[in-house]
Amino acid sequence: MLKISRISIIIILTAVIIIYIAPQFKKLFVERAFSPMIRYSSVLEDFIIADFNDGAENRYYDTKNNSYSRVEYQKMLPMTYYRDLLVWKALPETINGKKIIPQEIEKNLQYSMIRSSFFNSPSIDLYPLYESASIFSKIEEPQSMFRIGSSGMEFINSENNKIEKEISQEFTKALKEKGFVFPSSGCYGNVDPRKPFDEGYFIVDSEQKIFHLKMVKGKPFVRDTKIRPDTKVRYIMFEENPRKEYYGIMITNNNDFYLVTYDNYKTVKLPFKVENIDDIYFLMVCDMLKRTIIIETGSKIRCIATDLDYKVIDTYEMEPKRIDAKASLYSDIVFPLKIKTSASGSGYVFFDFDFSYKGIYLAFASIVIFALFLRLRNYRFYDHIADFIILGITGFSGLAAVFAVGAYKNGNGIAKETAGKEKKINFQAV
Amino acid sequence: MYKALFFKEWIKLRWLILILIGLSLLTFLKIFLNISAAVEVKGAYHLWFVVIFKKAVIYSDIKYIIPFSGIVLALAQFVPETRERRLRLLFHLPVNHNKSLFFMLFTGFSAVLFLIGINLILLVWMMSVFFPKEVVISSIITSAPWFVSGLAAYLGISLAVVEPAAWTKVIYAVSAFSMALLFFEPDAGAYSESLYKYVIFSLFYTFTLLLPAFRFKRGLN
Amino acid sequence: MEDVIEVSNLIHSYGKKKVLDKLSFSVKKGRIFGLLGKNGAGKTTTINIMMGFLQPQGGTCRIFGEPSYDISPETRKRIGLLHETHLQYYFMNIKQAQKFYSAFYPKWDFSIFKSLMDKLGLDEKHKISKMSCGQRSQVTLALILAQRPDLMILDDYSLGLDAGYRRLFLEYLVDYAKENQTTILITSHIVQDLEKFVDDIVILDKGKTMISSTLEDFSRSFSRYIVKNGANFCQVEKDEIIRGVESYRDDLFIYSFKDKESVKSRMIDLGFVKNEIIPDKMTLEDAFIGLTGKY
Repeated sequence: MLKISRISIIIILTAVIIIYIAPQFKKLFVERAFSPMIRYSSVLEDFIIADFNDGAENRYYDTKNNSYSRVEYQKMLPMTYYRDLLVWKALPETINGKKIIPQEIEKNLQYSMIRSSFFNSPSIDLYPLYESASIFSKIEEPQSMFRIGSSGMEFINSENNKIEKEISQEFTKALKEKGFVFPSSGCYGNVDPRKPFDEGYFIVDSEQKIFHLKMVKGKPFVRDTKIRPDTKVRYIMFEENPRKEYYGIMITNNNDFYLVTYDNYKTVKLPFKVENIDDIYFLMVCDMLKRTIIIETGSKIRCIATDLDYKVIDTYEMEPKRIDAKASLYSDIVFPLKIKTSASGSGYVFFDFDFSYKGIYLAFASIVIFALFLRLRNYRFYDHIADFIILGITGFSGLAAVFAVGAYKNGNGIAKETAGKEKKINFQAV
Repeated sequence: MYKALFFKEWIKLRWLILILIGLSLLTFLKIFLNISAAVEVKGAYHLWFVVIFKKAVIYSDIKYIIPFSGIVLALAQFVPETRERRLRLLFHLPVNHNKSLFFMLFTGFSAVLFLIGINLILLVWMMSVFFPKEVVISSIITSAPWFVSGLAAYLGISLAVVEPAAWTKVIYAVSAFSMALLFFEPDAGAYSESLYKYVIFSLFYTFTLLLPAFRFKRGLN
Repeated sequence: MEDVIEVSNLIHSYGKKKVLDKLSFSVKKGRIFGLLGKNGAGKTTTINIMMGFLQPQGGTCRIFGEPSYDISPETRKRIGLLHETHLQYYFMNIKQAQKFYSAFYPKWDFSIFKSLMDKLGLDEKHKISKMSCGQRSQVTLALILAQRPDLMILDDYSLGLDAGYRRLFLEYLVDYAKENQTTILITSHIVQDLEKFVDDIVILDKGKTMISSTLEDFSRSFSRYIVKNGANFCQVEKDEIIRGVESYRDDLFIYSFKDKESVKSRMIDLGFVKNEIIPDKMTLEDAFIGLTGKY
C-alpha cells in the first residue's frame, strides 16, 4: 500500500512537471521563421510568394526564384492591389483577353475560409432563423432560436424559454412534406446577423439527405437539394455573398470539398485531396480571372490555381521552416513522454500522451543516475522497479519527481511489508 | 467506531460546510441578478446569442467556489490533526492507521462532492429558467472541470498538509495548485472529450496520503 | 510473568545527535514504572517509539508481545496514553471529547469521567482550545482513567498541574492501579512525586540506561555522604566508586553505591584526608540530581 502511495505521488508530480514545463522548455527554442503568402499571378502565369518576417526585408519571388520589388509584386496581383495600381495608372486594360473594369473587380472578389476549429470545437445546437425576404436591408434579429429534434423542428422563444407551438408545427410539417427524416444530423448556416442577406440553412436529415431551409415572409421555405454525398457530411461552411455563385462549401467524410452552387444546388468538387482534415486552414480566393485555393496543413502550404470552371491551371507546394522545428526536437529529447492538452485545429482540451523515441537516450541517462544514487545510499533496486519504469518513459521529469519524493525507505530492517507476518505473542491479561 | 471518526470530522467541518453553502448561494444569487438585469436591458435573445455563439460563460463567477472549498476543507480537516505532531492522537486510536486516514479523506472528499452537488443543482435550476436544455447541458459540461478541480485541490492540499517535511510540503502544495489550474481552460465545453481522463488523473491523489503519514512515523521533520 | 513492555537496545538519532543509545528495560504487569531523565534525555522519544509513532533506527520494542511499530487496534484499546504537553483535539469540547473517545473503548466508565470533571468545574461545552494547560491536563487524564486501560503510559503527567491536583491525581491513580492490577509507566522530570508510589525506576542519561532497578533496591544501595567543608577540595572526578559529586555552599556531597568505608578509602586515595565523611539521608530527587548532575 505504501509503495502504491509513493508511486502515485511520483506519477502526479511527473505529470505536473511534464504538463507545465515541457511547453515552456519548447518556447526557449522557438525560432523566428517566415510564414509565406502564396498567390497565383495571372499576369505572370506563375505563383508568386511573399515572405514576411524573415529577419530583414520582405521578399517577393516566383517559383523560379526570380525576385521582385514590392511594387513589381503588387503589379503581378492586380485583382488584389487594383486600388494602388489605379493610382499608379498601372492597371492593365485586359488580362488574358478579359477586359479589366475597376468596378467589376471588387464585385467579383470573394474570400472563403475554413479552419478545422470550425467543426472541431464544442457547439450548441440552437440556431436563429432570420427572415430571408425582409423589406429592410438590415437583417432583423428574431426573438427565438430553433432546434431540430427527434420529433420535429422546435422554435424556442428567448423571452419565456418556451416552445412556440404554431410556428414549430408549421415548419415541422413543411420539412416532413419535403421528405425530411428527423432527427437532423447537422445544421449549417451563417448566424452572423451582419451578413448582407440571408439564405437560411442547409439541414442534413438522418438519411444524409441535404435540405435547404429558409423563412420567407414568415412562411417556411424547404427544398430538397437532391445532394446525396457518397459519405456522410462532415461540415458545410455556409456563406452569403452578393456574387451568389455558391451557398457554401461542403466537406464530406472522404475529406472532399464541394461547392454548393446557386445553380439548383449543383455541387462542384474542388480539385485537391487532403489527408488530415483535422488540422487544416483552407482559403479560396475568387476573382474575375480565376480561383486560388490555399491549403495549409501541418507544415505544408499548398496553392492551387484553377480557371473559372475549377479546372486546375497550376499547383505549387512548399514547406516553410517551422518555427518550432528545433524546439520540437529538443523538447522530444528532454521529454520523451509529453502530455498534450491542446491541438492546433481544435477547440477542445485534451489529455493525450505523446511518446517520442528521441528521448530514449536521456531517459536511459536518468535511469543510470537514479541507479547510482540508490547504490550509493544502499537502497534496494527491487523496491524501485516502478520508479525505473517511470524514468524510462519520462526521463528527467520523472527523475525530478523521484528525488522530490525520496527513495523508498523501508525502515532499516523493520520492513513495513513484513510487519504483519511476524509472530504475535498473545499476552493475556491475567 | 467509524461513527465516532465521522463525528470528529463533523465537528471540524460542519460550520465550514454551512458557510461554503452560503457562499455558493450568494454567488448564484449574484449571477441570477446579473442575468435578469441583462435580460431586462438588452433582451433575452441577445443574451442567448452571446452565450450560444460567442461562447460567453455567464456563470463564470462560480469557477473558483469549489476549488476554494476543496482547499479550505482540506486545511480545516488536516491542519488540526497534524500541527505539533498531532497525528499521534489519531494513531493511538484503536483503528488501523491506513483505514483511519482514508476514512478522514473519504469524509472530506464526500463533503466536496456534496458541495459540488449543491452547486450543480443551483446551476441547472438557474440556467433552466432562462435557457433551453442544450445550453443547460453545455453549462454542466463547462463547469464540470471546475468541480473536478475542487476534488483535485482537496486531495492535493490534504497531502501537502499531512507531509511533515517543510520543503516537500511546498512541492506538494505547488503541485496541488498546478493540478487544480489545469481545469480552467476558458472555452465553454472544451473538456467534453477529455474530462474523464482528468478525473482519473486526479484520483491518483487518493492513494497518496499514506506516504507522508509513514514519513511522520520515521521522525522526518 | 510476561513483560507488558519490553525495550531492547533501542537506538535512535535526530540528525547527528544520538538520542537513544542501546536503551533497554522491561516493565512487568501490575508494576508502576518510573522513567526518569533530564529534559532531552530521550524519554518522549522512547514513548513515541513504544507507541508506534516513531520507527527506531535500531533495536526492538514490544508492547503486550506485539512489535511497537505495528500494535493491533485490539491491543491499543487496552492502552491509555497521555501524550507529552497533554496533546488533545483542540476543536472538541468536554462533552464531544467524551462522546468521541467512549466509542473506541468498550470498558468506558462514564462515572469516573464525570466525577473528575465535576471537580474541574467547567461547563461541558467548554472548548479544549480555551482551557489553560492545567485544565487541559485534567480533561486528558480523566479521559484516560475513564478508558479503564490495562496499561497506562503517562508522559510528563505533571505539566501544568498544581500541587493539589497532582496529589489528587496520584492518589486516584494509585488506588485505581491497585484495584485493577494496571501497569503504569510514568515519565517525569519532577521526581519528588514519584518517590511515594513507583515500584521500579529507570534513570536515563544521554540515551543510556544509567539505573534500572526497583525503587527499593535502588534506595537501599545508593547512598550519599556529606563532606563538611569539603567543597574547597580540588576536583573530585566521577569513577566506579564515586558515582556523583555535588557541592552546596561549603559542603561536598558524594554519591555512591559502595559503603562508607569504600568511599572513605577512595577519598584518601585521592589525597583527601582531613574531613569526616558522614552518611546523609536523601530523597529520590536528591539521588537523581546526584547521578545526573545539576546542569
